[in-house]
Amino acid sequence: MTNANTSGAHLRWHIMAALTVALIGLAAAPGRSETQEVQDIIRRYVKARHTVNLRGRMLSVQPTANGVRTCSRRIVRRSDGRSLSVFETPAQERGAAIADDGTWLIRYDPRDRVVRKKRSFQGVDARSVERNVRLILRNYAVRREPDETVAGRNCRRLLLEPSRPRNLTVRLWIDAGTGVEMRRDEQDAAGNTISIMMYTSVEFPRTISLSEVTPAIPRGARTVNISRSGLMTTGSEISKTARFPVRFPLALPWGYEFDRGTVVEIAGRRSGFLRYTDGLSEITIIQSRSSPGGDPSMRAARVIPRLYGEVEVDYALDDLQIVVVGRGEARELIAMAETISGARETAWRSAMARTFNSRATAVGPMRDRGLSAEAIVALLTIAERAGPSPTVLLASYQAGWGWRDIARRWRVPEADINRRLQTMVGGK
Amino acid sequence: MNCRKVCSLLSAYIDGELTGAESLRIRHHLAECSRCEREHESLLETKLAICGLPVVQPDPEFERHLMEMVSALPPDTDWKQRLLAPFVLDGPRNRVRLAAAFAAAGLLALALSVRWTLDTPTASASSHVTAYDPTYTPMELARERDLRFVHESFERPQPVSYSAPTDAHPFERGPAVHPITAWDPAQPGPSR
Repeated sequence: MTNANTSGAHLRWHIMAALTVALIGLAAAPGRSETQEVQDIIRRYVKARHTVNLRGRMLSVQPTANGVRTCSRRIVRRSDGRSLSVFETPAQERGAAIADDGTWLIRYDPRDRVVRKKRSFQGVDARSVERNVRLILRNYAVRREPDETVAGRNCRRLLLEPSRPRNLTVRLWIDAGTGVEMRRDEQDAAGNTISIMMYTSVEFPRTISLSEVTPAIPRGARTVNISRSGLMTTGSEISKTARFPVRFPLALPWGYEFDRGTVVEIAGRRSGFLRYTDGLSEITIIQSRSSPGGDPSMRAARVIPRLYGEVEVDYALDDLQIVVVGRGEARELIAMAETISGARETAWRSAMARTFNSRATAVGPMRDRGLSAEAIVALLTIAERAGPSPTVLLASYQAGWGWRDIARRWRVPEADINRRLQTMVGGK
Repeated sequence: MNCRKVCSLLSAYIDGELTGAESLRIRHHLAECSRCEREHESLLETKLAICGLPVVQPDPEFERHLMEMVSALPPDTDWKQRLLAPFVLDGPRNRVRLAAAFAAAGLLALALSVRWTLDTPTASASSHVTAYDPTYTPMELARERDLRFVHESFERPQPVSYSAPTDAHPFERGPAVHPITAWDPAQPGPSR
């Protein structure tokens, strides 16, 4: 009898425990599904950038030191990736057009009747989309906010807070039906709004004719093609076409990764063009050769604030004239430019060879693909501790997985990697 | 880069308006040429002195007082005579005055002409003009537009009509050349 009572009590205890676990599971389930839902919204948004038929008017507002600048554009997008944008205001910009057909991006300026042409960096393939999604989710904590209506469309509102507080905070209004970005607000670390871009009217027609996405360019307009190559993913290819060694920076601002590069000609000078992205913002580096000579310990920099919270840094280093344009603090961009130094690269590679011995042979190919010193040290430490080949880790990294994700995947403690980073790249 | 060109660029150099390469070239020239270095120091001192001057604010009542004083003046019926008085050759004293005035005007015209000749940018000196100088050359304008275009994306167009403020960033003040100490990447460095 006592035994039966005891086993009954045990049974009740087990049932209660099972129910509790089930309840906890149910309570936790919406959290997981919300994360998944946010990821789905981001994925759809990235895909919809170039795959939706759209006709609309967009208003952009950017505060500047001289006052608030507003600009309105008529925008047409076609589901095959072609887009056209024509400026309506301000008056001095009226008629200027930007068209992107997925291969070329052109801008026509009616004031000088010149068509400028360059390679398009549009990435519509599945791999690019997935990489972009991973970069956004890695660099920003995405939170869903209450839905809102923009230009008559029901929108999912997302708050994207940067993993590093000094970067930009972005708020997106994404059309619930199509995934198109209807509005974007950007704030700097101090909470100042640096840009608002929103559709004031929009429609999603079933078809868009080719003529609607083709800019009307007068017959006498002059065309200037600044591209001197296609898009490339390695430094050696870019250097070969540029006819001088184009170098990657050793240090990158937080969250940024090399996207692709090309060769352009600016004011008669062949220049290497490198683009970096964190998923939502871009940094451009343009390198051209300047005359050598001078004191190698001296640097010269000029900093110019630009729209959208961007900064341009002109930098003279070794035999290179470097221009860096992007978001963030000028100091960070200067630091990025400074690590393009050939002497630093040589010193760092020697230190890597001493530390990683035979694995250091992977440094060259990794640098050629634009990986930063931090990423390379982290990946080689993972290879050293867990055993996978650097090639496997490089492939994961290029697919958009950060080194922290890869370290978790191979169960290498982050603390081990941070210790290495402390000695090899000057601390994290 | 010769002394004449360096001197013409010194003001832009001090204001941090030159490109990195130009700043470096001037820096190297100044290290070698004591005359230009003195000119640089003198200009720097002048600029600093001007920066240090207090801004004089007129009294809020100043304009009203001035207008009251003007309206209180008696009507001047003989203004034509007063205006022409210095030019009436009615004595040796006035003739000397007139001759002195012509001589001064001639000297002023000569000085302005020489200054204008020196200041007119030659083809080789035109590259110093910065992108935001209203007098910048077609070459610089093309470079500037190409640079903006190369960074431009469909989503974030770079309007050509926008001029960046030149007084908004601390990096733009002073000579934009600074020494950077050697950095050994194998050693722990400053945290990034």
